[in-house]
Amino acid sequence: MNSTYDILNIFIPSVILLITIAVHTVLSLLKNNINYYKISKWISFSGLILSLISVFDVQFEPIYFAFSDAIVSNTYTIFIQSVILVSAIICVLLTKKIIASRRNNAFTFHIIFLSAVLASMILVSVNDYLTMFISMELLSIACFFLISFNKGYISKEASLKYIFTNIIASSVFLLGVSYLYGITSSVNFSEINEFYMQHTAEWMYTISILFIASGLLFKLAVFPFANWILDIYEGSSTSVAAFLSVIPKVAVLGLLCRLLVFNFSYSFEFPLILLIFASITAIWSNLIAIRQRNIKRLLAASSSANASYMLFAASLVSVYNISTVIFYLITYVLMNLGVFSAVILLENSAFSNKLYEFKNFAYTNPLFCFAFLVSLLGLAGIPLTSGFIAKIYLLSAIAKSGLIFMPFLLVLVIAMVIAMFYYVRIAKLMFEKDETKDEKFVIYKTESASIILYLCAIFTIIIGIIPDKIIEICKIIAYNI
Amino acid sequence: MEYLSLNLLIFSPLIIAILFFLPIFNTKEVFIRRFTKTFMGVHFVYALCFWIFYNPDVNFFDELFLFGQSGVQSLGIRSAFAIDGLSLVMVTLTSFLFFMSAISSKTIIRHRQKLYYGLLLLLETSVLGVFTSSDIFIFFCFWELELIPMYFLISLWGSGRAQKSAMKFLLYTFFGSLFLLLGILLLSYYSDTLNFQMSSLFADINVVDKLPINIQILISILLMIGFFVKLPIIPLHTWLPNAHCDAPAPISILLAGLLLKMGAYGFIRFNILLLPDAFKILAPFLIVFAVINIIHAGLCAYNQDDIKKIIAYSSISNMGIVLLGLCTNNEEGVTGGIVHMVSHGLICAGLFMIVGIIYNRTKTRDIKAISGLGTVMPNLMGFTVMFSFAAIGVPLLIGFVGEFLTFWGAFSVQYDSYIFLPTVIIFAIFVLVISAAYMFKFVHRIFFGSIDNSWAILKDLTAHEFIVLSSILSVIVFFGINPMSLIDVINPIVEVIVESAGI
Repeated sequence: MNSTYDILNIFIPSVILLITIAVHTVLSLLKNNINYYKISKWISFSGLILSLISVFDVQFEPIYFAFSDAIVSNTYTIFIQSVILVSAIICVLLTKKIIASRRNNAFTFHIIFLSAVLASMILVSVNDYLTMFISMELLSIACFFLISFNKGYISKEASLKYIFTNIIASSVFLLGVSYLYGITSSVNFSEINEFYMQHTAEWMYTISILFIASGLLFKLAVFPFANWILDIYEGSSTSVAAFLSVIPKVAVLGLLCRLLVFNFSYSFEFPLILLIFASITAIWSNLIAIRQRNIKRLLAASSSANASYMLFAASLVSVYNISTVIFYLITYVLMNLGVFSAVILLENSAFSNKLYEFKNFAYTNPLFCFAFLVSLLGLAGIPLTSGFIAKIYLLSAIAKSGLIFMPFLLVLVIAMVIAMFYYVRIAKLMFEKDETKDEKFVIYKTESASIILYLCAIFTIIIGIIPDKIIEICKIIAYNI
Repeated sequence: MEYLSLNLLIFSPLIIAILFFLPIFNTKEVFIRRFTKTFMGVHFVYALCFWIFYNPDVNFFDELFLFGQSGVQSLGIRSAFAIDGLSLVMVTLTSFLFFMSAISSKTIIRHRQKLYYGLLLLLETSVLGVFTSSDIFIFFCFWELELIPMYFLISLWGSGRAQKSAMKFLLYTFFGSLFLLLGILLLSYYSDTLNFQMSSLFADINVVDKLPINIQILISILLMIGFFVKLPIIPLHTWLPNAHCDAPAPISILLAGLLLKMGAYGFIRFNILLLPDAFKILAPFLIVFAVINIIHAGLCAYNQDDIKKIIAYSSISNMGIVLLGLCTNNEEGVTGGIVHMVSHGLICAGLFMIVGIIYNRTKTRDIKAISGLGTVMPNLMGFTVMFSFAAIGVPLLIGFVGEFLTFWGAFSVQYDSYIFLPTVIIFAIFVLVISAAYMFKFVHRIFFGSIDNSWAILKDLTAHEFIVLSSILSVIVFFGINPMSLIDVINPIVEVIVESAGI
């Protein structure tokens, strides 16, 4: 009886996604569904839109605990969930190519895709380690299938790599949870909080939360589990790579911020360890990105670097820092999806992912080049784009945290200089003239990726010029975490 | 005064640049070139109006409102702009040199004119923004924004290893500017806001007064690294010779004339006016850096074979003189430093223009390969001799005023606890010998001696080049004869500097 109320109160968006998954399942069993495979995208699209609308009906004020404290709902989780849904809507619109190449499995693809979205939505709002483990595993398994959906050997290798690394991360995570359970005899966030209100934390607590965090850091591709990311982005299809670079990251960072504020906050050493991990990742991924000649591998390293920047601010917990993380997350989603949709447009016009293919674009496709340039320069952090404001805001958060974090600030700044190099190099390649080829690629009128590219570019500029409203919202959200 | 809009002065080039980038705009090369030249001419006249109506008691102040608000209110940033004496001089110089650069682009820029002139206008807005913004955050925005057009201007229209040099320039400056950012963030940490209205800051410096002195020194050093990359000061200078050599001549003019001055301007605004206590402690050591800069870069310039590199190293040496003047902390020295900023901007622009003309004709920059051009290019030789006189500080030309005041200030410098300083400053005076040596090596090797047959067909100056060189020279002579017209404008700010940082 109680759980019915819970479902009605906070679970409607997830239920709508579940219904959409069911519709896909039924359709995938029908005969001859290959003839109308194109509907699958629009079914997912409408399901996600409905889910996004129903998010605003969810009870979040005051905080609502559902399913005997397993799920929590407040302003923060609702906001992160809507960010996830918006990016999922964008990602669905980018899936044209992969669906067209696997027509007989189109509905299956969308089942897996929506399961991943559902898992990340639940992951944001979990309130005990068991639910967290289940939703994380659901996310990982869905990602595993999504990666292997591409044709060819390289994709299978990538998916196997992903699942093996994931198994190690998950087992480390479970080990940490078991330690924590051993100390506190509970897996519930609130109960563990209450336990540590009364007891002082020992070194075992630090070790257990370190193990737990490692499971989350795997999804972010931060240091202990960072090396999977390049091969996996290269192996998976570009739409899936766009998905991987956005949705699991938003979900995991959203959860990590909550954990850092409440459950992980009783250890003094833990933020420092996270900062060291983040510094290593920032330097490593930016250095490795310089050597990449394939744009997908480069974006993989860049997404890992961006996650580490956010981890810098998130690990020094304060309301101001969390608000900067949320703002960075929003701008990062917009810029990254802009870049990925540009890459998808190139792929659809039979260009390869190699960087040298980008020559001449400034002269043959000026409008496309401009939008692509805005997204890239946003990632690099050039003024007038949202990336610049986000970087300044993030850096100011770390500067405000205290003088002893100056070395980390320095590392972050150096990493950003290195990052500038490879983003601007791509921009420069587009302005380079290559006399041997003058092919002009055609953007089809119906291509939804091009609309997304232009929208992302426009929003990147608008947020870069007038970020006031969004910063206000971020502050409110962070205050209500 | 109210009818002179600062926003219009700063953002009109940006609007024209956006107009250029629109696909509907006319793509005819001649039209774009003439349109840009006309616009920049009008812009220069408009900037001159500011000079004419300038009144030291009333500062120009303006705020840019976008969609009903200026800047980012929630972070305490206001997009406010103000002009005082120092800004006024730099703004007028900027407008003038961009005008000259646009005129001299005709023979050198042969392709993609629309993009070129668009980027040039974008660069103008960002440089003007740096010189006028009165909010530290907006200052930093423009400081960063200037890198992108400059990078493309060097890498796309440059010669030699232009792309490599452009990337080197970009990374060096970005590296420096992130130290600058660190300094700004530290300031924000101690003042609890990102709001840094510069004018309010040095009206009552209560934000900075709260800082402990060692934190002030730390912030000052961080900011200095940012500015010294741009200035450049010796360990951070290696981007400059490459960037200057490989950039096209009109861009070299802007690099030497304005972008280096941005470093000096930021140094005055932040290190001297904002953090005077830290500056008082650091100044004696900076004098040593300045002297090393002057002598080392001067000797480097003498040993170069590449004619553009000679001028590039000479500008490093000259920026050492500027730093020396600013660090003396007395009225003569600071005035000398600021005047030398202007004079070097003009002289170096002229010299880079000349080198660009020679390279354009002979297609070589090797000083050993060129000789005897004086017989075929007498006009150019005349201009070169005049500019080199100005560069080595011959009286009645503006170069003399800056150098003389700087050394006057430097010799009367009073740092009692640093008895080694006078000895160090003595060495700086050798720059007069060294600069004469490299300038006359340059003039002598190129214009005198027997002429090679292959150079005998070279044409003398075209009308465009003649106009550019003669107008720069006339400004040099005007301020050389009548330096007080310049010194009167900058005098109020010099008094503020000496009052806040003097001993």
